[in-house]
Amino acid sequence: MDAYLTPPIIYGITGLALFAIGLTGLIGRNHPLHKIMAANIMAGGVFLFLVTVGYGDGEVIDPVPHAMVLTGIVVSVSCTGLGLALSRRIMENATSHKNRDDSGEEAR
Amino acid sequence: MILISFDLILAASLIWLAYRLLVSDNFFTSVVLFLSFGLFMAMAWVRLRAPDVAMAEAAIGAGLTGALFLSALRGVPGGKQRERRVDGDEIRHD
Amino acid sequence: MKFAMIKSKNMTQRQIKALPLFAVLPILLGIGLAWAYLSALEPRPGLGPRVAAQLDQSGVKSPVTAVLLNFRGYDTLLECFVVFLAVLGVWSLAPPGTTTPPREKDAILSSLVSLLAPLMLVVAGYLLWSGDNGVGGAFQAGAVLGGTGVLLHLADRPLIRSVPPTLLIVGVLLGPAIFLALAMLCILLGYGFLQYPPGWSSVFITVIEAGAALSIGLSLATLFGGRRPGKSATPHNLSRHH
Repeated sequence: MDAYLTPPIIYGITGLALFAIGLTGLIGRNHPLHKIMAANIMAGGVFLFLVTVGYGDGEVIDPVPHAMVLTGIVVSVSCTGLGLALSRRIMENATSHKNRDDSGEEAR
Repeated sequence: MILISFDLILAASLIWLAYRLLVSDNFFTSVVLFLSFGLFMAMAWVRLRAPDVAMAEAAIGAGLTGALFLSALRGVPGGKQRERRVDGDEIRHD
Repeated sequence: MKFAMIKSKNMTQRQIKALPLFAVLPILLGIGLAWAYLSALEPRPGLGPRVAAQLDQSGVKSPVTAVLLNFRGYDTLLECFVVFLAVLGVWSLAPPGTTTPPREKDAILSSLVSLLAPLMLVVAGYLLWSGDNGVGGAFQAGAVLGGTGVLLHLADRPLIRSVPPTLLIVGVLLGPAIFLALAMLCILLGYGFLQYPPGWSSVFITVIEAGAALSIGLSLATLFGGRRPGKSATPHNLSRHH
């Protein structure tokens, strides 16, 4: 049991658990903000798992997963920015439609 | 032994933070929990011997994504929190 | 439109009935993935020794920077373009009225930013330079630059208002353009796409890193600002609310 409690295994399991939680949140929550946060959590879990693969045992670290995760973090923040801009427009359109339906006139 | 327990506590905190932020109804709470989730992830990167990733995650993943979310909360009803003082001692958030 | 901001207190009947599924499914998925992971564990050398063997010819001393900008430079080139695409998307979705209305001046934020912003620029420059030898590199420097841009935007400095839009567009384009131009230069020199000439690797890497850091910083600050560069279409009144 002791051989299983090394840092890579602990964080690998954590990454997989984060992936599962993020996927459930992505499907289960309705609001776009929650969905984007769930997608970010999924990405974080995948990154944890990737770096776990490249842990190595002694002094030699595998730097290729580090580079992949760095690229992934920047790509994920740009996707978050674009997704938030899109969701802001969606929410604005939803409220304007709602106001138009309720009161019969154009929303402000 | 100490480091292993640190790892276990950090891993449990990550999972608990992720669960809480997806279940919470208040958007401001979710964003603040997401910020701390990013900072805990930065500590996990340090433990996994990836200091470059730790710096990038703390700056971009936690800081900038948190700022983006906070800026997006302005368009959500219930996202903007204003606090006001009631009766001199108690602070109420609307 | 059925799409509404439903909080979990107002779940539909179907969702309430599906709640046990939402509790059980992630646990099953997590257990399945963990079982697959634990049953495939074996010590693998990975690519570490191969990178260490070629590190001397790559032009930098840090293995992560060497992998990012030399061995897997194609991924970094594509990633610069992905960031640019995201900025294009945010700019095309920008609400009409393309400059922000002036906010009220916050004394603490203004003084803090005027103290912090030059320091952050120095830290970004140091991180960029130190990426060759150890921890650091273009992405970390770009992140700190992006943070500086966000702080300046929040404190509403006149510097941010007076940036000409052409300069902003050129700055955002500079990173991918330099990267692509240097990659093409390698073809002209006869070595193939993104194959640096031997002995010139460190020069190429430094130039690419500088351009990428500047571009990533400006793009991240623009993602936060969310407005299109240019003059506003409708005049805005000087109120506090947007």
